[in-house]
Amino acid sequence: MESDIHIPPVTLNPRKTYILPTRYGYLFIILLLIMLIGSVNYNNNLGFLLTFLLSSMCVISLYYTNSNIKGIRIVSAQAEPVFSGDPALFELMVQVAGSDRFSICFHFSDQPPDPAPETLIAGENNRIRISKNTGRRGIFKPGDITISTGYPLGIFRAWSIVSMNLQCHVYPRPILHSGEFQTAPSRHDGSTAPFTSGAEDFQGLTEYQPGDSLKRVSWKKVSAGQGLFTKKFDGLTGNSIVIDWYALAAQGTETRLSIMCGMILKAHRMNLEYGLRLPGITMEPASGNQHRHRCLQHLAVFSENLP
Amino acid sequence: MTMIKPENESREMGYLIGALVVALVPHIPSLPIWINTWCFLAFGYMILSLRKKWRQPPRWIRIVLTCIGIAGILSSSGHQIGSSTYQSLLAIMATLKPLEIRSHRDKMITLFFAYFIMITSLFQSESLLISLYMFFSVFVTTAVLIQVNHPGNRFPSSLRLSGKILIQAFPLMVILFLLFPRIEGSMWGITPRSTARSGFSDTLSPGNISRLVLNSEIAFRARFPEARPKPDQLYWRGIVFSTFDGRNWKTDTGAPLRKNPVQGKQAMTYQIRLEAGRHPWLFALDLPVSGQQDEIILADHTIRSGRNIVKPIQYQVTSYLTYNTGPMHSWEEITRSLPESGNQMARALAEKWRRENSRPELIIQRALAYFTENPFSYTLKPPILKKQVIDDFLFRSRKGYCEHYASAFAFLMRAAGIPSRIVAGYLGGETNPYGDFLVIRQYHAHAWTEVWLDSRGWVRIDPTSLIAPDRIELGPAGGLPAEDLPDNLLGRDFSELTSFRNQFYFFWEAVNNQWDIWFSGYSHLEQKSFFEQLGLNLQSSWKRAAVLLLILTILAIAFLLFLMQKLHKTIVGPDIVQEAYEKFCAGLRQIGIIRKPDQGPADFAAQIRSLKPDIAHQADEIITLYIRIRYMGKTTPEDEKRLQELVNRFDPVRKT
Repeated sequence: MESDIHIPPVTLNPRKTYILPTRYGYLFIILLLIMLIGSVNYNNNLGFLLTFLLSSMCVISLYYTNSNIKGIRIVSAQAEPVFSGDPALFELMVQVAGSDRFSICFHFSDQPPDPAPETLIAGENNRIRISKNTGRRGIFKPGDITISTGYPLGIFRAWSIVSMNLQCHVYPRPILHSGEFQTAPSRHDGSTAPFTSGAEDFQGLTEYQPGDSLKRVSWKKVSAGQGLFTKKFDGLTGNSIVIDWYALAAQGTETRLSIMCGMILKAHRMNLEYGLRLPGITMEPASGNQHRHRCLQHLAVFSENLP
Repeated sequence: MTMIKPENESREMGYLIGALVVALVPHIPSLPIWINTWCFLAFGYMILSLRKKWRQPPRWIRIVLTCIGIAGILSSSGHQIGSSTYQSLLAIMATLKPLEIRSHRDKMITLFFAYFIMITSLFQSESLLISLYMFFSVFVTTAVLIQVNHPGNRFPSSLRLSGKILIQAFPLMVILFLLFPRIEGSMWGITPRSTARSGFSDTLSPGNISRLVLNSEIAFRARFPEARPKPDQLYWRGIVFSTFDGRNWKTDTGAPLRKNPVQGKQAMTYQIRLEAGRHPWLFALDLPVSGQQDEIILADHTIRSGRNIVKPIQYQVTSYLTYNTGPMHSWEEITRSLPESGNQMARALAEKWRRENSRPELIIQRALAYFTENPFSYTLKPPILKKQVIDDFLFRSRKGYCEHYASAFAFLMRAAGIPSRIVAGYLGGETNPYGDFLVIRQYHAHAWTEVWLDSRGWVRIDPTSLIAPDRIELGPAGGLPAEDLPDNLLGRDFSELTSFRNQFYFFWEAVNNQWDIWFSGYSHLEQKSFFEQLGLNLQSSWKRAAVLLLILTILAIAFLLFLMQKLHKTIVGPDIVQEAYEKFCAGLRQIGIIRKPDQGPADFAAQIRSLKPDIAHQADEIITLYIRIRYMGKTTPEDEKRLQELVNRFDPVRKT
């Protein structure tokens, strides 16, 4: 599994932080002007006092809005690969120093703000998830993230745009393959793999790969300081097949890739050992999440013209 | 993740309704009863529906309610559209707005509406209580505004922040208040309809003044920087009535401006703060000598303002407490004339006195003796007088309030050939032990007479003082029979300061007085002198506006610089984890293992493993910990420390 796109920590750049009144802010300014005109006309000192009190509070709130957004640091970002058309989910780890930040919206700059703002707790890792719909297969770059807040009065909005070069792999949309797998001729002799009973047999430990289920991490090893290991379970005994581009000659490129994608998923589910053959690329039969990911990655970035 | 839960939503609705109610409270006294009932029922229904989770009523019900409300306002206000019409409209809108709140936008607009309702209440009254309430109201509404913009917050913390912002806004508010240029008069001549009532009109009929006893509103306050006059000198002159038509007394419109200076002694200078009353009369102690620029002193020694007093004003007057007005003017001849006929018995009585006494002084004494010798009584509830009012009063009912006595006495004097007229104003005033001022209320209203004597000019004679001598010392309650006392005067015995209630009452009055002088009275004149104190002699308001603009620009620049400086001073501490990881990568770079900029840690670990298996174990440990800290949420400071230690111990160069 992929899932860790390493980015160096990003702290909001104060030079790229902006504050402007929201549309309510403009409405409020109009209200203040009306109040001021009324007070001038009636020569009403209490009216002046209220108008100036509200204006001053407006100015003070500018300071609060500003301090609410500054010093936000995104310490890491990761994303799971997705199938074409599914939303890609990016998970940011966000830290703030000093005091908690309220009503902070995270969204991709070309999308409307999320209606549910976040509270960021100071001194903790705050997990923020933002998603964006993907289009074609390939490497998906969702673009810049806008972090914004209208706190406390909603009459000013402060925002900052963070460029992090986020990306994730978008696999072809799988098409379920009904046909038989071609077995790899080198290993076994043509027979499809039989299922073994007791699907969840403990097989041993493999090194942890980011994206492996945390439930399967061997925390005993971790606490012993030996690093991360994933408990490996196996339902099938090895039998290897080859998922071959050339065997699907009849269809167009995208359909072929989608069928191959479906086959990989099926083979992985059945815990078969499978290899991959694309023009210019050959993957030796293997199994496991890492292998599956590598194969799917090849499908994602495959280009016929540049073999 | 903050989720907007339904219970949060309904709690928020409750806060919004609360903000509207708080903003509406000051309007309650001036709204018609049916509007108050409407509001009570509507808000009651809303709170109940929040509790019981009823759905919002459909659109057509809201439209029907709006129509009913507007129709109700139009029919109850009649043809007059006054300030209470607008207030009613605001109140009705405030009750209907919450019924359609759905989005964030609706909530924001509702709260802005609450601020607007607040300012309309300020145009009704500028008292200290209303001012304090205004701050409370802003505090509550702003807290709800914070709550709406931070859903799921605990309301007390919204309140706390609101209070914090309010207090921090104070200095800027004061600066703006003092420096914002004030102008004279109003911008477009639109003035609020005053709710203050003054008892006086240009006609004096029986019952005009006694009716005022029911009114405890403040007419004006007088501040005496030096000594205070004696109680029997506190005759506040306002209006002179010179024409009698057989029943009513009318003011004389023919009085010219006073040209000759008045002779007198015992000059006393004092400041008066007059409440709005929609009349042009200014009050001053008998006899005003000089006033301020825009007031006019007429030849009947009353002071007029150029325009009706629609908002409180302050002025300073000097009066002579003993004076001689000098010879009679030709326009004053009217003070001798009586209608051709009517009140024959009174005429006959006066004629008899004139025949018996040669000097006017003696006639006056005779007339006053008539009031003391006969069973006259002082009452607020005189019987209704028949057509010949003077005769009926003098010979039959013999019960009356000051206007009856003044009227009868002036009539008798004229009938006896002595010029006389009625002066209306106030008598006395409440003294306040906490301040050097007197409070004169509507119930201090009084009418007395003036007669003209050859050597002395116009002389004040108050026949009421003979009937009710305590009136002067004890105020309107003095001299009135107990069963006559209206509710507002009952228990108003301020002769003692012992009771806590009295002490509080006077203290509150004194504070209010200061507030009115320093705050409500702050006008273009005070502003000018404020600038002068600062060493700036700025005559035109344009210059003052320029100064304000300059100061505001300086403040704005200072504030922006402050913000920028705050913004640049990064409050985020050093990133220990990142520093450690970079140190680790730098170490590896020395032995030729270079991490690509976008290479993830797990990938990098695999690379190390394949290139340098001998350090792989150590590197793995570091990277695993790094992954745990950075990608799996929960981390402890111990983890970060451990990472630092591991990296410090890690030395790939020596190892190879």
